[in-house]
Amino acid sequence: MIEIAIGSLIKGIGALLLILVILSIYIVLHNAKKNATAEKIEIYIQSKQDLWYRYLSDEIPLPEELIPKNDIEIKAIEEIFLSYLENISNSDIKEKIRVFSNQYLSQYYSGLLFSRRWSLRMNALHRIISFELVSLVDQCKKLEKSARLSPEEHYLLLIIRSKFDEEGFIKEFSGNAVELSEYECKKLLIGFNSETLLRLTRQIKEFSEKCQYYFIDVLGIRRNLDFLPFLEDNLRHENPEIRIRSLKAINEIGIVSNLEIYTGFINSPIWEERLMVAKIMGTFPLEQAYPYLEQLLQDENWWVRSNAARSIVHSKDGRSRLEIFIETADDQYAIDMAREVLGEGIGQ
Amino acid sequence: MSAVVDFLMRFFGGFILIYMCVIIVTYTGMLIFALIEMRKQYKLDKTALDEDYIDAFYSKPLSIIIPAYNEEVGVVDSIHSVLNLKYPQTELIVVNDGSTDKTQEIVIEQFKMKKIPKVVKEQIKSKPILNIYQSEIHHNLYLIEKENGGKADALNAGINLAKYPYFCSIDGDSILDEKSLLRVMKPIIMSNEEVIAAGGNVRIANGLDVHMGSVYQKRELPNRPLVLMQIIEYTRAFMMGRISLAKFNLILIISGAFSVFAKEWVVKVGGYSVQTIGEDMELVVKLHRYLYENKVKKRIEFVPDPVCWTEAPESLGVLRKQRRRWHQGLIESLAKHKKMTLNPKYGKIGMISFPYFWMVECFGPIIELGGHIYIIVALFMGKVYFEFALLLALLFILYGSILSAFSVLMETWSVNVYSGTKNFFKLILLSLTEAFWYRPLSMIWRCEAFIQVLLGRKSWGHMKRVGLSKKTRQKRRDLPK
Repeated sequence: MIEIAIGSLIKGIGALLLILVILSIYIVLHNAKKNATAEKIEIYIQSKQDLWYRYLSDEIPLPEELIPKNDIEIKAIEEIFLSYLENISNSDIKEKIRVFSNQYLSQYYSGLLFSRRWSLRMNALHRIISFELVSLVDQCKKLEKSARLSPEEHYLLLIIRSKFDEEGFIKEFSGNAVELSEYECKKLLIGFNSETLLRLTRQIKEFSEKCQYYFIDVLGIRRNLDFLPFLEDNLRHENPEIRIRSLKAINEIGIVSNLEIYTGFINSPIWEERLMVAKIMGTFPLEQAYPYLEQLLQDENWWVRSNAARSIVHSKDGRSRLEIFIETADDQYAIDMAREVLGEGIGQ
Repeated sequence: MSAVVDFLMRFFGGFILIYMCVIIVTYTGMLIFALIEMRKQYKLDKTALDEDYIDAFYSKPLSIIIPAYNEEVGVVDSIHSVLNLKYPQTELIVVNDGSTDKTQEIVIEQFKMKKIPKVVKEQIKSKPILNIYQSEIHHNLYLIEKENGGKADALNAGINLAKYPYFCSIDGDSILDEKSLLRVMKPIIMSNEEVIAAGGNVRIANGLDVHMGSVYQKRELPNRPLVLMQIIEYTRAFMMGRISLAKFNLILIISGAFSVFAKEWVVKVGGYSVQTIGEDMELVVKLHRYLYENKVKKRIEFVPDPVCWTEAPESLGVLRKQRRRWHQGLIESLAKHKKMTLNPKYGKIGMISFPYFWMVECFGPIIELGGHIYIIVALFMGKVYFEFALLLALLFILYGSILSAFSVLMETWSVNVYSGTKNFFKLILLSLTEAFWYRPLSMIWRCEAFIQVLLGRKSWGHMKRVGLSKKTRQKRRDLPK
């Protein structure tokens, strides 16, 4: 019994070693091939980059030799385009890349789009977005119906929709047919221009609760004064999360005129609201805001105190006000905070 | 008498045999699983993905904490590597845990640090903070000077000062790839905060050139077998363990050398434990425990690619100490939370992870040692047990060498970090020798940990650094011996 086991184990190990040798040889050859391809790509880039530059910057019409003849050239062109798109923001060059890609590269990506390999499909979707391959949008719609779609692909397809078919996208988005993560949702929304976002403010009730939150965040990031009335309206919303996020967005926009709208939050039972108001107060002249900020400086919550102190110190005459406060006040926590903020000085 | 001996020999032989078979099958299964996972990403253009995450607003701001205790040799490189990271919003907190060398002076001088008064909200208890400094060059760089309290305590102090919702702990001697933070944060961002901790893959940087905190692409491996063997070991642990365990949320260890945590949850479990040696594992176990006890649905992830480069011990003595300490940490954590073992209340962690860690990771070395002793004894006892011993020896070779060689092979096939034919053969050939010297050695060191636990010994477990960049290497040589 044991002898048989030993015999088969030795054979097994032998077989494994053999497989190991064969696979090692395979890998070495495989890597050599990969390196050779990388080298060819590099040679192409080196030899053609000047010509590409002259074509893209409109010095010459498209030379015959820049039209890709094989996959290696396509990959090299891909790298050249990506580095242009990443490093240069020139709309003419972008447009040329778009036109060229739609004409000469779309067939290649169309092939990848229906590849069996997930990673290749993902790469194709990324390129469709970067090179704005409008000619492949119909193909993408076909892919959307495919059953084996992964969440990652689904999301990239949504981005493609939001870029090339805004109406259809908004319909699907407000119907919240898909559950998106915060990151995904924001990434989609930030791609829209301000007019579309403004239009969406009227449809916000149709969004899922979470998407409403993210939408408000995005408005803050865009820092457009046109959104202010909508955000200030939200301050009367019954959902505290909506109120807090709207306050945060208002603070991001950074320009407010009516102090009255915010004073009600000074005594809010929710500390996050007091915190945001402590920040917003910093945008008003200190004369007007100081009484409220002084109250917030003595708040029971550390974060509220800290931000109230920062709002004061960053205002004109704020430092002297804080120094006076330190001498006259008797709330030790508030005094400590004021001291800290005064001492920070650099880069805050 | 001989009947009793015969019974014992057969009993132990059989036990070890079955144990080895089970373990080999488990590892092979995990290896195949990892391969499938890795191959899925093959040819995926990762830079396209990275660019997606770089935009400031939807990435979460992050505090990076570097605990340092007598790290004068490597600390500047570490700080530079962190300052080089591609990540939109970070602050960097270096915690000088009462170093007795020039760590503090070097940092203050290099980065023009200035003392600032700052009120620190103590969310986790830590030894008193003496001073806080801020850099005049990089305004997001802070230095905490505190009383010595150990690495865990230093990290806790760092967490108290951290102002962002996520923090990342990096060992003072580690170097990060410039995109590693983006990649390690990805599961957290994408999962809508369901992931509360993520660990990255750690690689060995000995012999690689590091300048201003960047690892240079030319990756010629060092020649020392001991270092190469550790590279193989890391690869093996990665391919046969971490990937599969992480996929099913079973992971109990994410490397302390590079991991990101949601501060909120770490504060809830009381931060890093000061009493245990393996504070990184202990924290992960505590988090799992908390999640189950409070019925919160959150996950802890391991990200295969973000690469953190660390310096591996180059001498047997230092390596021995390191391994002994790691294993001691493992034993302590498992023992401390032993009630989770096979307790259905703790779900998969209690029913699968804990038994796995007890049997394979914790007691594995003792059983293996038993097996080796068995082989030696059997050789002296004559023909009856000789075959048994041979069978066991073959299993050890299969387990130690062949599996390692396949890990290296598969790693080269899928990720290929240490590229180049020469490197590949170096690793493959050396991995075949593992069962004959390295595995028995590390087995003995880990067994020593049991003795340490019984004696109740503790230490910061500090290892002697040589520093990664040429300049610091030079400096090290200039230091008085």
